[in-house]
Amino acid sequence: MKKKVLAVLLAGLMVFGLAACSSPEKKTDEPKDDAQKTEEPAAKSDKDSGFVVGFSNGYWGNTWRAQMVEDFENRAKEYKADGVLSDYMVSNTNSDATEQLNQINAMIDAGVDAIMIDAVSPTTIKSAVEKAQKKGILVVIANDPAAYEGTICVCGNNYSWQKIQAVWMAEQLNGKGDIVEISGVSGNAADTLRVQANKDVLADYPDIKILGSAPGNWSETDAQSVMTTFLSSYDNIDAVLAQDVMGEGIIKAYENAGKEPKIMTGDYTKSFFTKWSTMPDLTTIGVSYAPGSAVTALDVTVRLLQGKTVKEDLLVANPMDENMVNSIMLDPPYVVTKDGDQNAAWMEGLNGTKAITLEEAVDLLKDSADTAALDGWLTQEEVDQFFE
Amino acid sequence: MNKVKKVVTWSAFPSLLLFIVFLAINGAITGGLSLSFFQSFIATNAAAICVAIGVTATILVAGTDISLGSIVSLVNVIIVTLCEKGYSVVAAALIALGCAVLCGMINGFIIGVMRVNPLLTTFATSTAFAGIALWILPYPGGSIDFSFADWYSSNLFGFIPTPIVLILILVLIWVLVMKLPAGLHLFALGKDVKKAYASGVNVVALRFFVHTFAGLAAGIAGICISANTCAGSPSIGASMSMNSIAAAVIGGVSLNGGTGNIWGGIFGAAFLSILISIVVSANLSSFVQSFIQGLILLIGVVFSIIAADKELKAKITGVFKGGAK
Repeated sequence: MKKKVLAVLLAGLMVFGLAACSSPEKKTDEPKDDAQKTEEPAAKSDKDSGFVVGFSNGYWGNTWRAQMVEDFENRAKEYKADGVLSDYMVSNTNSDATEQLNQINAMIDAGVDAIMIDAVSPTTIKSAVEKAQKKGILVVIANDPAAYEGTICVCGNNYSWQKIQAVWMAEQLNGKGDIVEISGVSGNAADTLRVQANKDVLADYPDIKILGSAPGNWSETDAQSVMTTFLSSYDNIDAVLAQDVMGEGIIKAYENAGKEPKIMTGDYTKSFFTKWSTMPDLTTIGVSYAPGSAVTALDVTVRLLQGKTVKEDLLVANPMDENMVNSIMLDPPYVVTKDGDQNAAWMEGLNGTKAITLEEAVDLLKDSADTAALDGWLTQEEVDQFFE
Repeated sequence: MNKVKKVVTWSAFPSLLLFIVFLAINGAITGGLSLSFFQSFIATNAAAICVAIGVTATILVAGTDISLGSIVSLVNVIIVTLCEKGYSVVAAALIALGCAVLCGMINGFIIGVMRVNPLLTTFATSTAFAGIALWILPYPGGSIDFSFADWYSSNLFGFIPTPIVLILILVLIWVLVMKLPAGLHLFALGKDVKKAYASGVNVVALRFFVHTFAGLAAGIAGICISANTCAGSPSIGASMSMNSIAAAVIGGVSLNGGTGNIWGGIFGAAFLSILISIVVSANLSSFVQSFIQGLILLIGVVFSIIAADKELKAKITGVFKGGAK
């Protein structure tokens, strides 16, 4: 009996569903053809304001990501006040690939003009990206690179970020010394690019010897234990070449061993800069890997919606697929050193990066929380440079 | 009248009602439900629904299975890896499905024959299966021929979407088993294992069966999710185990066993999935999204439990009547 009633209910529901959708189905067929004709991530250019943009963020379990979403929302509010955006949507998930697909589908059904995606995993969003494109929705990959045909990728440049620090360290050592390297999470795309940058830079300095190299998993405590092992294994370590998040752990390891760090790459959070201010003998550098890259991604998205085209020669190969040239890689906004030398060797070839002193960095962060990252993004004029 | 009463007291009814109500709310927010909404909804969530069917089967015999998410990941990476090695998609999917059933049999053997606690067993095997998945494919990547996605988004006989066919396979197997004496034995086992055993119910075989069935369900879920993404990720099913248990409970399946049916798991999973869409469609600020999602979930769980528990219902009505006096 139950089953019969259930069957009737379900059938009713299906009929209702089919009836409700028979007319919109025809409408969706037209933009499908348009999207297939244009290979480039071009959007409907019949209007230049009143867009709806969605941002699907795949992880937000830490301060950095929360700051990224906040940056996005602040810039989106500005656009909304100007009328460029009529509305914006944000969704977050904690590394749940299916939930992210649901969220993106919901945005598509809500009728957004463009979706920015920071994917849970670079490979899992294919069906959603294709569905969006079939409906003529612009897809922009933000923050973490992922390679999909017909999208554009606006991401932080991990390679140049690490290269700055490796060149800086080599210069501090005058090209000679014994160092240890602490990397991030092995196998992660960002870590792979950064480790490669270290390798490429150090190939030019044959007198710099890497005593040991170990992953610190972008964790302060892991980095501390790795550094403690290094300090007990090697009598003389001239410099530490590490990645972000781990700076304070490395300093703690030195303190526990009763030693003073000499040269080490540092971090870009307020707490690290505060610590650095109290250590006059420490030689370090803070290169900001900025959550504000989402702001630039939004700026690019809006321009694409307005029908502008990216200068093709400024696009670089996608870090996830070198055959796909569709990426704008953003250099770090700030490099913090003691003297803030804009013409130093490590500042060569960067786009929009400012060298500032420690005092300036502390001043920029004076109103922020202790864990906040030194943040920044390109100005509207600088973003315009990317477009024809 | 009698029929209506039967439906209303049906254990899966609250979750069906929740699903329909929230589907309607979603339609109201987005301005009408389109066919493409249903298509992408079922394509994206078929995997979650399959896993919920599998876990419901194990909960019905007073067990549980938290390794299904890991099996989904394993199936995904096996399909991707075999496709990269030149196997046809059909062969890859069938081999992966076989592995999933094998995983389920391992669970069933340890729980049924060796009588280890189901929670502990599947906790251990979930780590092992996830570990094998990570071993096979350490980084997200790889690709499956797009014909797989085309097949998945096509319709059987021109009108039944493939994901629904896949779900129906599981439902059909389950309904057939329920027709057999084993169906009754299953519920008896869930209610009281000792009495069931004393009455001559084959406890070992039933436990072995439900976990193998759960493995099959996870295997089909893995095929759904692989066809939907056409790529591999060793952690793709990580969050599915817990979500599926929540789905079963919302669907009126008692964690103590013996009460509920797989429709509860199906509607529970559908409700959980529609909830995500609603929170996004409602366009709330990021900082309150999780809160609202959790709040609706809590209300849903409380609602379905009150509706299923007659004593509790009587107590609550008693309290209100008492207050009026």
